[in-house]
Amino acid sequence: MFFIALRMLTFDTAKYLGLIFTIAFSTFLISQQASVFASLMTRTTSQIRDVSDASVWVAHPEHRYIDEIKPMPESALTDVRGVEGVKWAVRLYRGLSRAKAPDGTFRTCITMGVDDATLVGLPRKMVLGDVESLRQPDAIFLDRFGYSYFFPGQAFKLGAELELNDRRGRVAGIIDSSAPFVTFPVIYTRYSLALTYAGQERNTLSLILAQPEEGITPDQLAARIHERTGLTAMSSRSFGWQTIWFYIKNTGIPVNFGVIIIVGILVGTVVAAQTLYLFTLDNLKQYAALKAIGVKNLMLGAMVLLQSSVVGAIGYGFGAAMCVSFFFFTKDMPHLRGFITHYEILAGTAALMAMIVVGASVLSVQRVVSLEPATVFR
Amino acid sequence: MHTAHAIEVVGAEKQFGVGPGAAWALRGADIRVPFGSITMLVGPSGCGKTTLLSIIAGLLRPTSGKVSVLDRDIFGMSDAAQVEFRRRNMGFIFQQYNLLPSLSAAENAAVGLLAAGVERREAVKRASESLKTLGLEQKLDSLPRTLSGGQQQRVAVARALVHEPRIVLCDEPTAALDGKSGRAVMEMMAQVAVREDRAVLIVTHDSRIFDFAHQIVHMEDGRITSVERRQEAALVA
Repeated sequence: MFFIALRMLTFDTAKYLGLIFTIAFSTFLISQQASVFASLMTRTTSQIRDVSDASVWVAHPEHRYIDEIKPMPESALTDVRGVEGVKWAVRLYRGLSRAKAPDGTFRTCITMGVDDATLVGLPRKMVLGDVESLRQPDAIFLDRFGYSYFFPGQAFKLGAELELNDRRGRVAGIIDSSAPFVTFPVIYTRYSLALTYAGQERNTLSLILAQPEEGITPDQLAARIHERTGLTAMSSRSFGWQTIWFYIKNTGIPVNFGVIIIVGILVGTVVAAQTLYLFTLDNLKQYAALKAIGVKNLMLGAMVLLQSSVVGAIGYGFGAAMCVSFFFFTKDMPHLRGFITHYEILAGTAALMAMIVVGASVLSVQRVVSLEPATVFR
Repeated sequence: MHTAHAIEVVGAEKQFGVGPGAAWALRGADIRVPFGSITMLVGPSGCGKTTLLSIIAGLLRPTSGKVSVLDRDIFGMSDAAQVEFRRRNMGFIFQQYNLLPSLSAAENAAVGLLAAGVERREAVKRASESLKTLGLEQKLDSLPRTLSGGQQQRVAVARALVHEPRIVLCDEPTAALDGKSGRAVMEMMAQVAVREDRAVLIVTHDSRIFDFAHQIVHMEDGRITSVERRQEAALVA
């Protein structure tokens, strides 16, 4: 009997494709919007994620998130190094500076200054050049999208120059850093050089990166640093989440995306469920005939469930493929880089679509089961 | 003709709705359908013919009365047993054919066998044989929409008979057909469906096919008003 169910499903091509694309577009809408939101939130933590050498971040007690840092006095570094369990601790500068290309193109850049001696805090993915070249005079590393902005149409090459706060910065390496929340170019340089690119303040120490000794977890060390120094300290993961929560609480982004996602879920649920249900209603006469002939309710229910499942699986597949394709084809666009399909979101959307399909099937099966077979005589 | 009855309905009543708006479709109908015969149930529209047919088929529960088919009280069975009894022993022919538009003629004719769990290839093979006896050997793979009304009704006849049911219930089987096609369908029914251990009950308005009846039962206002027995029916083997 299952082949009959599939024939009924595919016989009217327009209806069949309508069912599939209803579910496909619902899947796409939900998973694409949710992925954009998740990616946007992930982008807020890009500089945190790019530091793979240290697992503990220390900041001024009044800081709120990575983009709003209050500099600490230099003595804070000594205090942190003095805490038991700290294997090592180094400076990290983070600030904004204006960079200008020889042709006059200028833009605000995120400037990261890593420890002069150890270079701890650099992203590990180099597109061109090597890490040690950052020790050269006026050396800066520029992220590849920043390079394309300042030197459009030019192949990556070392030696290009930028002007930062009336000082020269020579591109000694091109890095593949994670996309930041705002699409500013990212410059990495030595801490001492970064200070010259920034406007002078009394305190300049933005952040301290620390690493725990063996046997101590980042969270344990962070708690210990906070207790001993009064500074804010947290693991990389906690620091990332603190930043994400700041954006969630203090911007309209989650509300706007939340509304779109909820509307997508509601519209997707209602339209997909209704379309599936109406498909069953359209075939009631056929079900009544089968029922009169002697097909049992259990079999009819299985037929309806099979139809819904097939449509749901194919529709979800198309929708998920559309979502993945969207992010695949936009991954190299500067303003969309870092936007990816999160597999957790695809899994969640699959679960949601399964619920919609099962829900619509239950309604449809109820209608078929309660169908009066005598209607075939009317 | 046998004296035993394939179908026996005594005092069947059927009320639709409750309260002041309730309507009585049957008001104590009695009918007996002998084995080896074609019985036609006739009467004006709304007199309760189709309701009585639905009750005999076990598709509609009567408000009161006794319904016995092949000596079984079909409303004394569980729902599952009733479905199984219907599947084994009854074949249906509907006015609008009710063929599944997505299935070929052979597959449509095989639906009863498929419902019984017969393997698809075997079911379609047996259904094809049945269609060939009805003159549709050229149309086995045709979809219903490509068939004429008479051809569709012949597919419906094959579907009703392929599992060799003992009772065949028909609702206006010739109403949508021209005179020639209607007569052809009735000739097939008379040849294939009527045997000593079988019975055919036809609800009809179509006086053109009365010649095929062994018994004509007249209904009016939910009651049987007269039973007309005939000595000879046309073309009955």
